[in-house]
Amino acid sequence: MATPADPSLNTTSSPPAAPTPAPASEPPAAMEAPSQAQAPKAPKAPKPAKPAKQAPKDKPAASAPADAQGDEKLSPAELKKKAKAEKAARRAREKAEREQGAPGGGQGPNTPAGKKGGSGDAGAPAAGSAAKGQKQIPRRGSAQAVPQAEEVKKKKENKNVAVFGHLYGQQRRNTVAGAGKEVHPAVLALGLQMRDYVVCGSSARCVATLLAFKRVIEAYTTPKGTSLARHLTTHLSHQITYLSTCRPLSISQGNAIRALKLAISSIDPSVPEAQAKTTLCEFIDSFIREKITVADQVIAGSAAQKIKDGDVVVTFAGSSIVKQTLLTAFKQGKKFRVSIIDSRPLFEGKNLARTLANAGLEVQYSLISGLSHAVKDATKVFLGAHAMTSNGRLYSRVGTALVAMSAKERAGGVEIPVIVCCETVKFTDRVALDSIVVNEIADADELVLTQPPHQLTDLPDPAAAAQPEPKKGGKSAPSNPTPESAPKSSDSPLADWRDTPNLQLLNLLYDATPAEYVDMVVTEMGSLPPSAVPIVHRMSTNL
Amino acid sequence: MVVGNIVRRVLGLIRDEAEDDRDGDFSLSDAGSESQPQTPRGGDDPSDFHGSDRGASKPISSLATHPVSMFSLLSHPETETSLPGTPATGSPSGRLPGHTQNRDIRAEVLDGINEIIDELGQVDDQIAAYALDHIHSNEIILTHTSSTTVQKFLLKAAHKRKFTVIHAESYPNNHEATHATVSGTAPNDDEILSTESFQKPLIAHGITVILIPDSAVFALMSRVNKVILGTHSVLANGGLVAAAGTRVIARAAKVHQTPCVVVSGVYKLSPVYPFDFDSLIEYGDSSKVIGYEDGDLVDQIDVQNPLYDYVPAELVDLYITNLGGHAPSYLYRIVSDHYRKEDISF
Repeated sequence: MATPADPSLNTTSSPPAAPTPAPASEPPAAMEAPSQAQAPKAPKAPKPAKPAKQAPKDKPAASAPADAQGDEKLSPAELKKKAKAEKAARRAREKAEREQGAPGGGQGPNTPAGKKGGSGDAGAPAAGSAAKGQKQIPRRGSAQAVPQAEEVKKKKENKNVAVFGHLYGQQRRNTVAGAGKEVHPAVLALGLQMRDYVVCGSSARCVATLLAFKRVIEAYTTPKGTSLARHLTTHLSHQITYLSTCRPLSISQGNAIRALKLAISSIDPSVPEAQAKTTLCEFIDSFIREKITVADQVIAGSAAQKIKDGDVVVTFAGSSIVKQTLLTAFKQGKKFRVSIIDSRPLFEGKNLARTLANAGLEVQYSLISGLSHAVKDATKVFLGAHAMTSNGRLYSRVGTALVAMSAKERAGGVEIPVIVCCETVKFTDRVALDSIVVNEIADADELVLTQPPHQLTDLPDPAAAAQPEPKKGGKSAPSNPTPESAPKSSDSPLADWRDTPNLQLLNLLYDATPAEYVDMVVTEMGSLPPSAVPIVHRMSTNL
Repeated sequence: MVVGNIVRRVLGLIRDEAEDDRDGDFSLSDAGSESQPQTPRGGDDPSDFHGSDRGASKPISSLATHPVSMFSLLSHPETETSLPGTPATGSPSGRLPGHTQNRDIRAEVLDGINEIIDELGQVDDQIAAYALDHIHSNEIILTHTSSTTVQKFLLKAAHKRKFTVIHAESYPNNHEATHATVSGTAPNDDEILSTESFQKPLIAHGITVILIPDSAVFALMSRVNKVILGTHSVLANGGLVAAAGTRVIARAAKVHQTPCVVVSGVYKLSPVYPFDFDSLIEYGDSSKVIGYEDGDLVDQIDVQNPLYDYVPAELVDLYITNLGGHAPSYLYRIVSDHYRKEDISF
């Protein structure tokens, strides 16, 4: 909640350069994006310039000079009217909260001043209304959602599982609204895709990120007064920040970004911009090729050699590299059976099962509850990885540890070799003793949403749309959910879990498999024991 | 399986009565063997049929014993009257001979059956009485599926102590019931309202309940103090047959050195020794694993949905029955207390 005074003060401290305030006054700029989108009356051009304009002239924002008044008069007035009407409606609804809320808000001191001064003064109300626009329009667009959103937040804090308290970051971004204007459209789209698991899987996310950054670099022009090497890094960091608000970055993404930043910083400032950009794009291309595409082929090739005729290969969820391995082995004419273990809520194994079955493999599919049966006649376990930690632990989709454990601890049977397919770009120097230290928590509502009866109707949209309803209904009247959830009975017990005291849902994304369960890590540099991870990581980062 | 256990106990009861009446009589073995071939038919059919709905197996089992026991009772007098020696040699105990004695047996057997039914009704509460010995403050308990025995056990402890329960949802066979248990909404089936549905859920007692998917069990196990499992039936070697997914949980508990406690009524103790685990496992509806929208997949791939897991005895640290806590290795003794060896194999 940055008050308009703050960025204006910021700009006073660095007044001269026109484009430079952009990063400095990022919060207002970020908030202006939705206001521009939703209220087209607001003139676009003057707004970013406003802090700069204001800054030299009036530091106390209330004393308003009357220049630049004419063109802005309409919009503040309209905005104010709208705001007033809404405010009145809101007041009528809940007086007490309004009275406390408004002065508490940052624009509190500004708004009364603007009102008293009437539409005469341009600067302050413009700033004030801009602030209002920033603050309130996006919220009011969703009408009565304001108090409810707050309630949800309050509840949400209780809903955090205490042990994982450190893993609950800010809530994931739901829209592109509020994203900084520096964020490239390709990155915007990618962020949402990652959030919705459209782009899912460590390598896929890494490749998609790099491709998006390539487009960012192609569209990038170095502003005057800075060098590409220095400014592009900050420019990229905006993109990265945005991506990480959509979904925490994967290890591979982090590694790729680190390599890219290193490449940027190593560019000689004397190199012309166009040439530097092509160099960087080539770097990205070769990075993807070397570290992921070719690496995958190498891994698939060498891992496929491990598959023998008559094997029963168990795999968990839907790793792209495992899929490639199995298909490669199948193409080599090997006869084996694949048993896919899957789990809620992502059901990534379904896609893998479909692909493999279409390719003609013999596939058996079961959920994690049937794990001990699937492992019984298995001869090998192939696992994908999200990352390999420096202490040799395999950090992968939640449930992987169970599969590896069952393979190793089969009662009365011979241990089944557990083979992990992992590119070295997924190696990290982080260490993790258990799955709690490093992890990612997904939206717990996913556990509620994905119920088979929904998919029966094959209409995910109504289900998704209906989902918030029980929540809101539950807030106003606890007895409400029953009629709403009657048609979809499976949803009823958990639909209003946020309102149920003491009930928490936990939706972890990853777990850490102990190193002793992993027999071999197949990388593009060869097949290694898990203890070799730190050495390979050091080698690959020093290169 | 549970039904079979009850049948065995009823049979044992009848034998006891018969033995009391004609102690040492040679015709006893005849009477026993005469009634035996008939009971399996009564016993096996319901066990096969009801074994699939595990949640309901307990009340049904007590009901199912009625026809079985009546059947064997009806057959009992017949065999005795058909045996020429019975009325004459039954008198040494000093009781009245002939029909009055048979009626006496029948009444006593019925009393015995009523006792068993009473026991079945009280089992959960009796087990719950041990809860405070095993659950302490601020513990983190992990459980699985919506077993009423486990819920009562935890509820009992919840009256006195504050702890945290992590509940794995056992998708896809029991997750709806688990969700209902966890959130405290009664399952909206049209079944008879049982006493359980009137009970307050754990969350109403201020117990924090965390619902997790089954896959997250390993990740959380390092923070769990105790695993409490319900079961479908317990075998004589200390292993158990429980809902699918239990074995992995028990295994994960073992790996993390977390004690694994199984709560089970004595009626679930089965004298069967598992030599062929696969025969104990039932497979369920594969449409629960892959929904109808993925129907094209079903043709191409082999979808499996086992309902039960066999958990070997070494994964279990403690059994709590209505008789108290036992080590898995001690179970065979309880088994032999409850069943007669003639009845072990139908």
